[in-house]
Amino acid sequence: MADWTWVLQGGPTTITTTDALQFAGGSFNGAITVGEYQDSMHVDQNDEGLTDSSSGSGNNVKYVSTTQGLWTTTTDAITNLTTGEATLKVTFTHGTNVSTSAGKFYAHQTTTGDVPTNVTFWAYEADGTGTWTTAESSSDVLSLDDQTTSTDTHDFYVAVSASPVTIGSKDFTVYAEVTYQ
Amino acid sequence: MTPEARWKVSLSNGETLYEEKGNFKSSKEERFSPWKRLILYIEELNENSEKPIEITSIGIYTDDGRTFNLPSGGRVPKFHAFFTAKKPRAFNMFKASSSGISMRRGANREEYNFIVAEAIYDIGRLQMWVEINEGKNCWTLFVPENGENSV
Repeated sequence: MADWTWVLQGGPTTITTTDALQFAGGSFNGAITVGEYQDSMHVDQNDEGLTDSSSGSGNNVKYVSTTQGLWTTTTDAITNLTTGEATLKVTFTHGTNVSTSAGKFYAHQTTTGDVPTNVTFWAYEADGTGTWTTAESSSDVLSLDDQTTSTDTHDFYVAVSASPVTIGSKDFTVYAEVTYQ
Repeated sequence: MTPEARWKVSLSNGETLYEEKGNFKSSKEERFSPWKRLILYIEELNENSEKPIEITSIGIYTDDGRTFNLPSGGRVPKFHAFFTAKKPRAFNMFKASSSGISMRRGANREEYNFIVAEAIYDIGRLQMWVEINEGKNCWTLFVPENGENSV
């Protein structure tokens, strides 16, 4: 049977089924200035106020331009991002050896399925190619690389960056999907 | 045990083969999935056959007796409409899985798993999506030629 594991890298911290992924200012629960992108990433545990991220945060890759990101302390070509530096490791596992294709990664508004409200969302798969992609609905997606080798575990390494258009917390869901044989 | 939705196919040589039965059971010891092993089996049959061996129908079944069928090159149509409908030129199967994480603490993770049978025509693909767990929900889609949602 199919299963998924989401990990915020850098801790690393596994995001459990009721945890949330948090885009924040410089610290846990810190606000992001309108029009700016996040300065830190956290796992918001389902216990009030706790963060499970080691040292308070996980890997943060900040959108700078479609071809650049800021991670560790340096702005660099986004194609130089390594898999270990990416924000998220998303793992698809199965009880048999399968190949994956038509993978997609995107965000959408939790309650309506529309483009996330008042948020600009970018994603990038750390495969050494391409640019940041707006991935804000099921029709506007980051395409994940096909993994044609039949195996029971498939890892996808994705950087994500978000910017609020208005003040206030934002409620959206980030999705990964694959087809497999 | 919760019934799972699985594929079944009929071949032009008269065989009917089922996922999780006979030589098409899931196993980590097997290099490939049951579906890929079926494709290899058909290729092997064709190496030794004068007539081409191909899939003539595909459906989805559950162990509690439910079946979902796509239009086929069937030999015993039950209604006139089945007899006169355009026959698919090929068939395919894939499975789809998705997972979503929320920005809101306490929201349960969304995960969906479907098995998809495709009947392929010159103008596009007719897809039947059945939820793998319990096989209760089913959707059909038509994907035009060169469209998305096909493997």
